[in-house]
Amino acid sequence: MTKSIYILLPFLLYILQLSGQDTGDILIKNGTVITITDGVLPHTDVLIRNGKITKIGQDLKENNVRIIDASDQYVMPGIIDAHSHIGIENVNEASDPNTANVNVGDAIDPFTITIYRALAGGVTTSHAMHGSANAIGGQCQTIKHRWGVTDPQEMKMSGAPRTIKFALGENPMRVHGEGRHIVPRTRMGVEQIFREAFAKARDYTAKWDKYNNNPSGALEPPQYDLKMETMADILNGEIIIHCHSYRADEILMLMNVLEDFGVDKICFQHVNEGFKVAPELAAFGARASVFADWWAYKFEVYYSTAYNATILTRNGVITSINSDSRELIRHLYHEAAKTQRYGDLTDNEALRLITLNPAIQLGIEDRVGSIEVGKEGDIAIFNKHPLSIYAVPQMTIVDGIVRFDIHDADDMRIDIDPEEKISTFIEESSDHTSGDRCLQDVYQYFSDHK
Amino acid sequence: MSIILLYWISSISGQDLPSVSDAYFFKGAIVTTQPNASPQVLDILVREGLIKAIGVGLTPPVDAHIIKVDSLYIYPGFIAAASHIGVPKPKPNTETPRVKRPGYPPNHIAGITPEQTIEKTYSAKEGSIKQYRKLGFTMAHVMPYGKMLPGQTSVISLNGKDFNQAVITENFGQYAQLSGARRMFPSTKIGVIAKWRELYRNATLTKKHTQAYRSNPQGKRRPNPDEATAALINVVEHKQPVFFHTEKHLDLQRALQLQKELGFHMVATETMQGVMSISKAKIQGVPILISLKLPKEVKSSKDSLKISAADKNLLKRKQASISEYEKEGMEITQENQAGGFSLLKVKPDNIYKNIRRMIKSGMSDQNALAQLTTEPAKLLKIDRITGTIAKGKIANLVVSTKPIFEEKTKIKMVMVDGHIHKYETKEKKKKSSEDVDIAGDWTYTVEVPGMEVGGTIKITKADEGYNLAITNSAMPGQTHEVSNITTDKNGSMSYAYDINMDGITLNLQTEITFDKDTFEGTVSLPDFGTFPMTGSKVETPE
Repeated sequence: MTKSIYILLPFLLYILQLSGQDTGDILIKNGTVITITDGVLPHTDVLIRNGKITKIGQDLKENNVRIIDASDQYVMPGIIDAHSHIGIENVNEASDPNTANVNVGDAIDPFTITIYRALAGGVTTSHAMHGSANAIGGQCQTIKHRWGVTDPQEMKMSGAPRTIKFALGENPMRVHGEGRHIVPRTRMGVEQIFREAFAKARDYTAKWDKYNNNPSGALEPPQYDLKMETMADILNGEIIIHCHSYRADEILMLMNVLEDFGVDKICFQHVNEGFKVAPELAAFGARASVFADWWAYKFEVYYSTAYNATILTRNGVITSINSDSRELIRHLYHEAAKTQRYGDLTDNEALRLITLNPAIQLGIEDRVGSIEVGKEGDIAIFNKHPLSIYAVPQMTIVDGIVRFDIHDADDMRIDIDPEEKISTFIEESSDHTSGDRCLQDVYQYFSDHK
Repeated sequence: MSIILLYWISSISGQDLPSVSDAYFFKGAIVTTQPNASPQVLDILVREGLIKAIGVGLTPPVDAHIIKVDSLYIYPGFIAAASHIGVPKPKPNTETPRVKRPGYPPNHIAGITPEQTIEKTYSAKEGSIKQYRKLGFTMAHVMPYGKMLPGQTSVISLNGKDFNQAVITENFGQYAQLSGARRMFPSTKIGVIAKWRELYRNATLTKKHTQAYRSNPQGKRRPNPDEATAALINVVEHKQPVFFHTEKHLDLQRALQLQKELGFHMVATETMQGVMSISKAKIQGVPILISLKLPKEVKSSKDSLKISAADKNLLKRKQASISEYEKEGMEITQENQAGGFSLLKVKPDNIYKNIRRMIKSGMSDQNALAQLTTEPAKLLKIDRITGTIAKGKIANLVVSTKPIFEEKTKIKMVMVDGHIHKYETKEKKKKSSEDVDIAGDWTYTVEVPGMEVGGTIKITKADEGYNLAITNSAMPGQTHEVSNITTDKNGSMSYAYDINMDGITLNLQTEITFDKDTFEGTVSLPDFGTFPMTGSKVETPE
């Protein structure tokens, strides 16, 4: 009997998953609740039912729920990282300056331990992005850190708006221009990639409209072109652009291009010179996702400031702080706290940079990013105020399910590769200097042209 | 003269030659006619390549060769549900072809050749045909080598002078992998999946336009799809299933997602981690071909005191993971979701060993046998002509010395299309490495298709085992040294060394078993294949 249960277990688990997203019921008692949208509430309970926040108040009573005592602890919305490359097997399809046809959501890897490590830093949602090898990179995927699921589809935040990666400057110039002697070799070339792709997408749409409006069936159907389909969806406002950018002149360039083609959904990523064009960004309605204090890892990123987030915020640009790294993602709350040293942002302004603001940039602000009734039960619990350098995340909850607990076992890996070399050493974390994740899968292109 | 005569006689009685009569009478073997039948003593009459009669106490026709098989075991000939048998492994391209626009390479350079057929690459002389036949395989479902869409598959008999004689079903399915091209589109899995969507969509549009054109061509452009799109119309129309190479769980999930999206018929192929996707596979009607490749067993170290507690836990988890792979056979066959064993990745020498590991982990003998016979026959729609031993079916039989999955079982004969192949099954004497002194000079030959490579091995005693000095006719003047190699209790040794050919380093992995003054075994070259190797001791005066 036990044997048959064991055999059926994966099947039963699957049925559970089929019957909708796995969600849980939790009552968090007596915490200091940082709501982001409604101030800080002392000695407050938060009830999550079926994965959604249903009640916030004092002395809540509820049966059949897991109760978590958060006395003396801080309860904040799950942290959101608007720029990461975790949880995906492929980052760059670097074969063309325009790869709008690919989607990193097709190569989700729910087993990569970096997801669990991000949870251990209170991060519940991240924007798994295509890399920056191409001017028009692939489509990205907003994922929820549902550590433990084996179905990659379960990692996707279903219903999150589609997003796509664009990239300006050195990376696309280096990969395609220097590497292969094709456009773009210069920043002018990068601009032309965008203009050409949008213009072609208009022609493409017109061709299909002509075919679809000709009921006699006499016309030959046009070639189906996935690249053009995606570009057309950007023109239709169905996809938010997230653009890797550094220099102010290029940021203005892209806004001009988008204006010419009537596209307005854009979030600039890195945007280290964003402080120079903050009013222009605000006027366009563009968003900015920045590092707290990380620059000088390549020529175009030397002119920068740790006041960037503050200047952008004070100019009315919806700004977030991201990781772009599997190491920084573990302490984004530290990164947010730096804006208090550099720019005196308030607690709430600083925490918005890693909660509600990235949610807005990903188009999921009605579901996550704050502790409000009706929002999804994504919570991070800290032993100290999350902006304190002494804060340590204690528990991270996604959709009402505890996905990280500081008391978890040492080895939380799910799928063990029986042939991998095992070691108790922690691998060196990668960053822009020791190997750019943004350019993962690209090096095969360089080895050819020394 | 008498020597010539003797030679002539011995060559007619030799193996693999046509006999005077094509009737064979297997008398009194312990026959398992199909996986769910219990073995019983039966006679089998074979004529014209077909099973003519099967029963108790049959009378042999006068012209039939009587094959004495009492106390031997007979099974239906095995079918490889997925393999590369009969197709020479292409030499790896060291130079990546340059294309002008890497985003738009020609299909054939990017590994997109769904129009390709097995007929074009099949070779009746391919060593793998003999090699797998010796293991009891009589038919094989063959996939071409390649990348994203290497081409169409065919079912062949492991018999015949050429493709036309060997072929059972031509262009049965499409073979697909999530392998990208190098330095061009699609170079990643996300690229391959995007390309799939585009190809499939265009094949669908072409099909639609072709139908419209056929019903009324007037005023319409003649359909003129490229080769790849045209070849995929059979997939769109569900005339060819897609054999999707999905070893690991995540790749299987990706292929299943694509299948769900596009709706083609799919067979999960070479699957090593299917259990986590079994319900999805069931719902989507996707059979799973279980890979016979298993991860290497990892033994706990003897001096466990020296390992840290953390490393001990890591080792424990690794062993638990390996046992999950071993249980795949049991779990997928019990769910009735298996369509046979896939042989694309397993080393031939490990086939029976790995089946035994799966059986030890809970798969029934009956289910194991079904994966070699009835299940692939059903999947490949050849169950009316093969898969069981029954009157009217093709005379494909395996004769073994003991029940087929027992450890010491040897295959004594294999009949394919009524042609009999006999094998030596001398019980190897048990001996320790001490018993045979292998030190001395040896010569060896390796059968590489199209050429014979040979050389010498000088074996000298070392502190621990032996030192080897190896020469190779392909590289005159070079000697490769391998030190401290030991033989195991069966007289087998394995060693590996690197050779450098035209700037490419190749790792030669050799496994040989000594028997007095001879040895036999294999040489494997990663990415090339495995080739039989034989050797003998050079007589030296005492």
